[in-house]
Amino acid sequence: MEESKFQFVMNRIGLVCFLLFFVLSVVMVIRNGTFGGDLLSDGKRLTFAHWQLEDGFREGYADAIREYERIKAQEGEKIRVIQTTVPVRGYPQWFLTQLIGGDCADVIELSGSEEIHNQYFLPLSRYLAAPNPYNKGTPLEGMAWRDTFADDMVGALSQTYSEYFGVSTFMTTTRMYVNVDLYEKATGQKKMPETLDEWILSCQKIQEYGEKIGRPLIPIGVRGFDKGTIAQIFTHFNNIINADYSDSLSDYGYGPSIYELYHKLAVGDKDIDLDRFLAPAEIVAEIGKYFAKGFSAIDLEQTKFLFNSGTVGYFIDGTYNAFSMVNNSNFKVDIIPLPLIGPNGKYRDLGRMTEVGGGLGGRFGIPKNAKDIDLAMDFLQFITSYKISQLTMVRHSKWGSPLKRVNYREAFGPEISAMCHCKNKKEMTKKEIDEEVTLLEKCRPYEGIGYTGIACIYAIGGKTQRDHVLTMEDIIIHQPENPKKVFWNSILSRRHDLLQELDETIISEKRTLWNLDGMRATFAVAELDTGSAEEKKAYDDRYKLNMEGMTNRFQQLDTLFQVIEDIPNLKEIE
Amino acid sequence: MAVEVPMKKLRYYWPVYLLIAIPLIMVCVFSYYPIYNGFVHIFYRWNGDTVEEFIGLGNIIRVLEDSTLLHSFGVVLIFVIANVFKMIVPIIIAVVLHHVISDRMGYLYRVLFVVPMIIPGMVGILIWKYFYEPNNGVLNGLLRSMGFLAPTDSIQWLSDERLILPSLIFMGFPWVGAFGVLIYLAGLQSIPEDVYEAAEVDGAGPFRIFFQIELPLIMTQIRINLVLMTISTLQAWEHIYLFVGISGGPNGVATVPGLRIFRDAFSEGLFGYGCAIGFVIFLVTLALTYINNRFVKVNK
Amino acid sequence: MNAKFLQSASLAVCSLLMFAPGPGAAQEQKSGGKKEVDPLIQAYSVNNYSRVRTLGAARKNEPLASLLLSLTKVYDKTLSESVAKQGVEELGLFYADKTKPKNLRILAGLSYARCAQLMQDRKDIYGTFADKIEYKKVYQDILREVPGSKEAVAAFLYLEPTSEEIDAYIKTFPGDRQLLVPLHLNIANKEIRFRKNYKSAVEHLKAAYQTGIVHPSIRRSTLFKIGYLYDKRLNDFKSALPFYQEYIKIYPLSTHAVVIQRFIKEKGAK
Repeated sequence: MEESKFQFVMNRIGLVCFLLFFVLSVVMVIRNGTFGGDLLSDGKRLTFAHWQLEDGFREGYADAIREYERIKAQEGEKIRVIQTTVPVRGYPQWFLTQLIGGDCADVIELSGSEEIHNQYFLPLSRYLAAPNPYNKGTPLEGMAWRDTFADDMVGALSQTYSEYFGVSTFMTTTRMYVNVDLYEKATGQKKMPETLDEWILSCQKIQEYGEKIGRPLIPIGVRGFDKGTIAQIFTHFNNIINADYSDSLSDYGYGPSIYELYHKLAVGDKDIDLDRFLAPAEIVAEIGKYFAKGFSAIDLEQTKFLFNSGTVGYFIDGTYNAFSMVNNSNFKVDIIPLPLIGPNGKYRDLGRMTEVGGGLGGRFGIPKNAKDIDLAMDFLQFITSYKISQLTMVRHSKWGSPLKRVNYREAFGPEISAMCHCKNKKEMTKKEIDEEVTLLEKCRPYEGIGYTGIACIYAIGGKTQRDHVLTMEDIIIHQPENPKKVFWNSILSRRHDLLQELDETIISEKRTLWNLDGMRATFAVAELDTGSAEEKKAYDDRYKLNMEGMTNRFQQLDTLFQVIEDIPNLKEIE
Repeated sequence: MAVEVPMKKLRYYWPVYLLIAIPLIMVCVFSYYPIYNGFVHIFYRWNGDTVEEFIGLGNIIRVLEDSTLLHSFGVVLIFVIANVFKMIVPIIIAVVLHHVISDRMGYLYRVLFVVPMIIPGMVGILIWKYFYEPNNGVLNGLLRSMGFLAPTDSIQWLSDERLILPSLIFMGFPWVGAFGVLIYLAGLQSIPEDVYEAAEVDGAGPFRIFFQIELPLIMTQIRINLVLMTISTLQAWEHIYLFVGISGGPNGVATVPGLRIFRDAFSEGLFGYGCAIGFVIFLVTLALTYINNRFVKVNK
Repeated sequence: MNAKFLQSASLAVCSLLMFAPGPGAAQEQKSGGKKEVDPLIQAYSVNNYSRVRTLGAARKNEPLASLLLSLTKVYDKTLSESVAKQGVEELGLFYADKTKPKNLRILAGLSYARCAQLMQDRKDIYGTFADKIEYKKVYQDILREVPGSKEAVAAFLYLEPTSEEIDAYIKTFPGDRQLLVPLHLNIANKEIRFRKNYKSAVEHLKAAYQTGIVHPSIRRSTLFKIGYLYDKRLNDFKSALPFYQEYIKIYPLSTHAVVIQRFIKEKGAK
């Protein structure tokens, strides 16, 4: 039977749709892909990718990109920078497939292992030795690019490959967010808690206030799901009580490692008091009474929601959430440090720990097969320069800058405001600026009293460490009579698992020694034929760096062999 | 029906075979090769990336010595048994729908049962997580309003060891899975009318009709659903991860083998060990499927 | 649809799939006007082992290519342990062949001995394969053949020498003193760990620091350690102070600058 016109059309409509969408997809791929982008534009194109979806980050970089394009246009170069964001859950997989596929962004936030970085990313050492040209006219002018970072890029150095593959773009610390309205109503005072006793008392008052108004209020909101808060509180009080052991217990300076601690406990060294290291378990158990009920199943997003809905008194989290916590709440939010123990507390109190030089993150690198390495490097230097860091991290994201000597107030001045094109460009009154700067200064790392952190007693092994935090969670839920004894004996009950993990760690160290020898051979081969004297020197430096780094691994291996013998000698508390 | 094609005629059908070859190659590459790769890596210490060391039966021995893994199989077995009972509700709903007199109302009820299918599973899980939230959740709020709980009290549905498993089993109440309902309904609708007429003539009541006519005639669908349900329950772990986290709740009470694989492989980098656990799940699934095929008879 | 249409459609689909753009190939670095580097060495210097294998296959009769192919077998971690064993054997033969260029022979020998030593430590993977290889002898041969070289220092370090042996070696070393920094660091660690001989440890750390440590974080921690050991272990704050002050001068905004300021304040100094 012959098709009618209607049937003819209906029978082919699927094919037409298919062809139409295929052509559309091809056009979009060409337009957005790097190959097509170069084809269609008359300038240079640079792609910039990351997974930071937090408020302000993308907007900050959008302004930075605009400024960069403007500066380059003034120099006669037409540059277009495309910012791409990928959600964190899928980012590691996307990152790897982009690298393998050879079509990676030109400047991209690092993910994955050191092996991936070494294989795909441009080594940055020789660029880091020179000053960042975009720091002219700032307090960082003339400083080697590496030295402009708060930690002198110590954290960014790959120990295995003796090389830098990325530079940090932000810095964060841990603070406590307070629902000021709730706090004042519940406690009847404006002064924030500074000691443990004051904190616990205020938590009790919040609970009582909740009962009074017939509403379930949560004194302390926690990230129970990933156990982050328990670890943060434990670490905080562990440092306050035990940080002075850094001066006495370690022969290597920089504080005793967990392996050194366990060795001293195993041989019964009189210089170490196990009870002091277990004191944080007791404190966390006490504080845990004021956590949200069912906290272990509450994740970060739920806790933030509970806080923003006014149900939570205190919330402990990183300062990367400061902006959203303050702006998404219908009440006043204050940011305070975790309380100290105080002079009248049950436990000793050394004071506020030093946070200087820590908390750097958001490392960006340049893949080796970037289309224009010089352009990518120029952009990387630009986004890690003093003024742009003020624009992106301070003005927009309300995070900390990874650079030294950054003036927060300047970020609200006319020069940086002129670069703001997003909603934050609005004219800010002096009062608003003062409030913002005060908030930011609260997030700045503390200089402290001159002690740095010390290892927590449970921080040994990877899997077993997580199990110990779960034990701590259990202690909070069940509130045993002697939490210190329960905690320590539970750590020792996992001896078998720990020994297994340490065996794996030793195997991993031996593997690292093999890798290091591989790198030695690589640099030795590279020096056989180099393009320039500069390159030869670079390989020579990397060779020496590699050999010097190897001594640390020998020391680590010796320590691990020792601790394997120590573990069986540790004793339970009766 | 398939017929034998002589070789010399094959050249006329080569476009068809060529078109089939493409998806077949993709299935081999994306389905069969990963299975083979996973099986090979049972015998390796593998971190998924740069470490790949042959260790023989090391992972298998570790699986056999792992008591927490045995516990996780116990938990998943509880879920399988619970899901068997949860299959009853869709059968009842299908029978009731089948007997709705008005065609229009029957159609309307079918649409109402099917519409919730468009909600993504993840959304459903997050909604239930909000139901179970101990402080501001719907369930505790309901109990407070009905006077069963004091205003500031709460039941910790997902963090009390005794309540986690019942809460996870209860999730999805009233367990009317539209997919199951439609499958059974299709089976019921294929029963000829004269069978019902003959039963009526014999004086059979509704229960007798159900147990002696309808149930045996939809046994094929029930068996298929049982096999699919067993396989999916044995493999499922995402909802537990979303509800109680990677640790499987307090003391890992809700840990299932799938969650163990995810944790051991992606959190601790023990990909080889994860492959070994996966292989054990495969063997258990095979065994249960065999039992199902052997003992659940279709007798028409 | 008729057979002809089906035929054309399948041809179209297959052609599209065959000629569709695939992932881009990795680009080689542009030389940009500098001296041209041997592409084989260039590939090896960025650990592009698959490219080394491709380029080396065409040149496998050349000593350099033969060496790099063998090195690839032992250091490319994506290859199996049997290939690594093969690589070690090839390196051993290369080293033993006196007709090969000396510098390449030494490179081969060092890797041969080190891999054999590490294999003996990993019997779980390599069994007794490497037991018969006398790696210590190879190290000693290297020390004799190329004293004062980088390879000699590496060979000496791999021999796991005692503190006395290191001391003696350092005194008579004919080459670049900066190559001895790892030995100074190693002996310092040993003196602290096994003998609690802080005085000797400090001397070696000072020697390492004054010679020049390339590793930035080791340089920093060594400077701190010198002051720390003088102050906290040898109770000699006066000797520690200049090192503390130098640390604060070079790393004024670092975490340990704050720690040092506390040390200085505790002693009542400035």
